[in-house]
Amino acid sequence: MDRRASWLKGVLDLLVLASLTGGESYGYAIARRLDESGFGRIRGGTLYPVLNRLEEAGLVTAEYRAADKGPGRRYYVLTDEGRAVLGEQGAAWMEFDASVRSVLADGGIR
Amino acid sequence: MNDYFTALAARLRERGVDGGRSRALLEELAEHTAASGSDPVEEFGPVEEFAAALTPSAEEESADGGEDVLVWSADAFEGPARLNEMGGQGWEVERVDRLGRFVSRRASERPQTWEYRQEFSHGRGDRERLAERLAPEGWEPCGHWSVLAYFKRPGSVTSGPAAELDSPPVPGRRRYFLGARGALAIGASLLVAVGALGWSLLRLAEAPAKTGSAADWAGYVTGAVTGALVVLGLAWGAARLAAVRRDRARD
Repeated sequence: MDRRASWLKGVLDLLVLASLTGGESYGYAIARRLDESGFGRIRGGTLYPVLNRLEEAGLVTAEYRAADKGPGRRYYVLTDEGRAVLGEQGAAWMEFDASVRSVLADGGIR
Repeated sequence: MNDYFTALAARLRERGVDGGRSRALLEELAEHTAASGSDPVEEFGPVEEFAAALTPSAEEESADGGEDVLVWSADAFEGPARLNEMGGQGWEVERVDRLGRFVSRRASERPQTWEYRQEFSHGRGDRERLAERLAPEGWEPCGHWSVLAYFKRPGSVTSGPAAELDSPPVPGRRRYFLGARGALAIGASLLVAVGALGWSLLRLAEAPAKTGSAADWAGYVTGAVTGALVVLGLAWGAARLAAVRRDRARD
């Protein structure tokens, strides 16, 4: 596993929760949004198990809607519990990120 | 539905996913591949692996992060040797559970050896002092049970990169290691407990009906509690004595 994939593994659930704070979305749109944010292409094989786990944990709910043309889509919505977990775990990540930056800065990385 | 999704539906069914949930998921995935224009195998990976990732079992959940998990136990006499034997095979004790079992993990990628030590300790304060004293040598606490405290350190502390295991052995089937001395100690304890209980019950049964009253039962319970407290006190005292001797040996 390359280093970036390893980092992403630890934080992907938070990124998915964060990308739902602006409103409901579906799998492919979440993957695209993360790609546009600079994380590269998130494969469906990586994304959907995370969405499944978040749904089972009650952090998101999903609703299937049929489309006029083509297949329907499953839309994910952040729950109150998901928002709370995002707030708490997101803050923990920021703290971790600050510690990493601090040590790297001490090591001359700017 | 193409072959990939047909096979995935079968795997999900085998793993107990209900029909409605499976259909919704497959439609969602089909929509994803249609939108991204990618091949399902390339997008989601091999069917077996993807099905397992979508519906991880309890064991797979506990092993998340690419680690093997092993829960095992040894008596206090066998403990140090068995711990170091398991450590030599790359097993890192993460904690000691309430039953005194060692909950161990082994990284599936680049596992390394671990060293262990077992110490007598009579309380939290003593364990903390001990941990502080052992820390400069690379030891860190990995659990405690009763008057026993356990410490671990990576083999790389003393061996460097040589501590990495190229081909860690498959764990044996045995999970409980009881040696002759442990069996003797447990046997003797059981003998004393059963003897005391039998003697007490016999005395109660022999007592005249009138005197076999609440007072007798109160005496019986008091005796049992006192006996248990005396044994616990002796164990605690022995641990304290061992800790004092340990600290003197250091000075």
